[in-house]
Amino acid sequence: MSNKEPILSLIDVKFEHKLRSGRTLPIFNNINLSVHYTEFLGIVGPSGCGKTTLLRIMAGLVRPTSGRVIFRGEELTEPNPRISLMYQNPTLIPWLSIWDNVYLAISSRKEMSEIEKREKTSLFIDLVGLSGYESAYPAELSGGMKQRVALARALVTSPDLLLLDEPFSNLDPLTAINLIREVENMWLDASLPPASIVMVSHSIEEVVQLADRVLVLKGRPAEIIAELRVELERPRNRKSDEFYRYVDEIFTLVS
Amino acid sequence: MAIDGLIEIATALSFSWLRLGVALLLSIAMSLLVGIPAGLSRTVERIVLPILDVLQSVPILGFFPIAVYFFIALNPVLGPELASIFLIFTSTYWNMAFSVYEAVRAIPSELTDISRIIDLSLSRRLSKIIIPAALPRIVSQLPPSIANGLYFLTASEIISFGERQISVIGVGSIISKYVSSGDASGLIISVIALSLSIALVFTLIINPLIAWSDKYKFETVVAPGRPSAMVRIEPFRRILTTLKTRIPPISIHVQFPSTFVYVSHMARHVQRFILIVAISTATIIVLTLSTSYITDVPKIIINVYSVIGDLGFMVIFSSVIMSFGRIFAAIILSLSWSLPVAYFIAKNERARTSFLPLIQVIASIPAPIFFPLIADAFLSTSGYAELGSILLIVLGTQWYVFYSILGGFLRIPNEYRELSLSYRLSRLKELFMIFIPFAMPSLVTGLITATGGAWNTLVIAERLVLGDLVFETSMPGLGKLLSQFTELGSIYGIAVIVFLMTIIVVAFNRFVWRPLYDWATKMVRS
Ligand SMILES: Nc1ncnc2c1ncn2[C@@H]1O[C@H](COP(=O)(O)OP(=O)(O)O)[C@@H](O)[C@H]1O
Ligand SMILES: [Mg+2]
Repeated sequence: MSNKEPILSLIDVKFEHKLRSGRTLPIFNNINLSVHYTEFLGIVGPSGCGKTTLLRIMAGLVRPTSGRVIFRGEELTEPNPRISLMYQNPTLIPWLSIWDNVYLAISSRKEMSEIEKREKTSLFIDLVGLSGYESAYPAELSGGMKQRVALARALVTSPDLLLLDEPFSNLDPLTAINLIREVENMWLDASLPPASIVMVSHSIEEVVQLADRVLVLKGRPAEIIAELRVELERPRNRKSDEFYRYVDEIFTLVS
Repeated sequence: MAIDGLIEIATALSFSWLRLGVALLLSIAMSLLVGIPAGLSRTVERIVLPILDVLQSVPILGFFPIAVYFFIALNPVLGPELASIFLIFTSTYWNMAFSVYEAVRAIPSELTDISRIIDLSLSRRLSKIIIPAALPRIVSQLPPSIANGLYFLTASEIISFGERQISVIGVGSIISKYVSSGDASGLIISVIALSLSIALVFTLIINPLIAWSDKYKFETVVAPGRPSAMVRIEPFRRILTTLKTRIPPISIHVQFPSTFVYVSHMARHVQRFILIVAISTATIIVLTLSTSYITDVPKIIINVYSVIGDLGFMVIFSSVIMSFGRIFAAIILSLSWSLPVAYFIAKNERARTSFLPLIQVIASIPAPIFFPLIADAFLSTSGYAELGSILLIVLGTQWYVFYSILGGFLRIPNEYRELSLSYRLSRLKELFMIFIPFAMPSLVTGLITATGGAWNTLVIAERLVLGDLVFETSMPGLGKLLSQFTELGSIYGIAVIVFLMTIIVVAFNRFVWRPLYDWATKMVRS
């Protein structure tokens, strides 16, 4: 498969929520977008505009009301193990240890041997900087550490596409900056999965820090009102003038 | 069957529903009266909760004969009617009161703060915030309350208690009349009429009420096909907007099932158990005094002693053990069908919309109307008496178990349900690693209520008296003893057994269920 072809695309995607009253609440009328191989795509939009919904459609967890989702050349109709979604909240299982939480994600894989599964679990716990915490339980970890576990769990499946739903928005600013930096380093390391990342966020700085390309989502029903490339050297410097020019530009678009 | 037969059934039905309606309204009013202060004030909370807790542990059905004596003594004409309403009231009240209390406590503190800042008057706070917040919980208590109410309603009409003839017009008494006269068509028609009336009440009143009260719910977990948090918060926002306030974004923490929250803070008070024993003793004594007009305490003590002495320790002990065994077996049976069915319904949106209303109606058909059938099939053949008795207990407990499991399953945050989809977990893995642990607090709560219900049912299950017929287990049991004392009209015997049962239930709650509940809630906290 050529790398020019997108890894995932949404074609004429329309989505509406059915309300109890029988009315429907349109979220998207007609969304078209593509995620390319080796691309970090950022999507910004105000809270409630439909970012989470969009990611869940991309993950195959919900079907669009109409339109199609194409993943690696095939229509996506159910969750695919090659796509990982990391939720806004860590969503760890409280009664499983950190190790078991990560392991759970690959526990049902038939093509991997038991030893392979164990090795991968340890590898990714290590990668997010949590080795030593394998037998701890989620309640014993700080918010930032829980989010790291969630990241390890999302990566352990070696996904081609990683979907991040505001992964830093529940963290304090310092923890968030650290974790963002680590995600950036992981992204720069070509030996690690995934091939492509989509991150949605309402924080413009986060998106400028990480994304190669940014889509701005706005309105009800939401539309993609702008698209721009972030041409900054990595690792990116938050203090630089160019960085702020991008932030300003997107800010004007969003508001 | 002639026209006047149908009229008779219709009259009986309307009487029964009227009685149920009155009792439910009374129960709601009293719940607001007690639950709101308890939810708002720590001091009231500390006094009221232990009392409610003990009173809900008293096996109501065991209590019924005493209540009947009491109300008939009070007013010979209206007595039976009042006793019946009282019985229904007590069978619905405790859950309702706890629900109101929990709902009031669960009002987000931001909302309370705002109402304090803008200095809302108490009456506005009540009408705009507190009562609306309690509404969804009250309404969601209606289906189990109706089921419960019908259960005790028909039980009170079907079962003979001692010499006194309790004659109230109702479905229960009509059905037992048909059973004793061997009128099969009358029996069938009245069961069908009853089921139809239940379905009618649910579709015309209860389900619309539930849909309507839904908009008052606080919820942050957005499940597919359900209105989001924003939508549900709307009424509260509107209220505050009309009060011309700037509203800060309201953040609500996702709470795991908050049923019986009080458990954890109550556990700290060590003196509680003593208080519980004191209150139950007082309740029994007061009731004994007022029913038998006896004022000299020594005589009571002597009588109680002689009851215990006549029975002997071994009989009491083996009765306790046997009763425990039957209840345990009944709970296991209830669990074994509830788990798979609840899992299926929780997993399957379509099953939920098509099965649930059906289950609702089936669950509301009062079990006592099946008692004559079960008695006939099992209890009369001595070999199956134990099995029949356990089945009777199952009839009285299974719905608590089922609904608590289903409720727990349905409250699992959507993201967690999706995990098993994303990671393609097998059904068994999903059930045991995600569903059951998440439902634990709710399940334990359900088991508490179920065992409470089971103790209640014992008085019927171990010895069923239908008119002149008696079906009883050959092995001993507390319910059997209670039933025998009731037949003898021995107030002291009844009091001793009810007291013993209450102590067992309370002690079991305190030393088994609560630690289990605390463990379960701690487990699901992340
Ligand atoms: N189950 C649902 N039923 C009705 N409306 C919903 C539901 N889920 C989300 N919404 C609505 O869809 C909109 C988009 O939600 P979401 O994708 O969570 O937004 P975001 O992630 O951008 O904050 C919100 O305004 C919300 O009110
Ligand atoms: Mg979101």
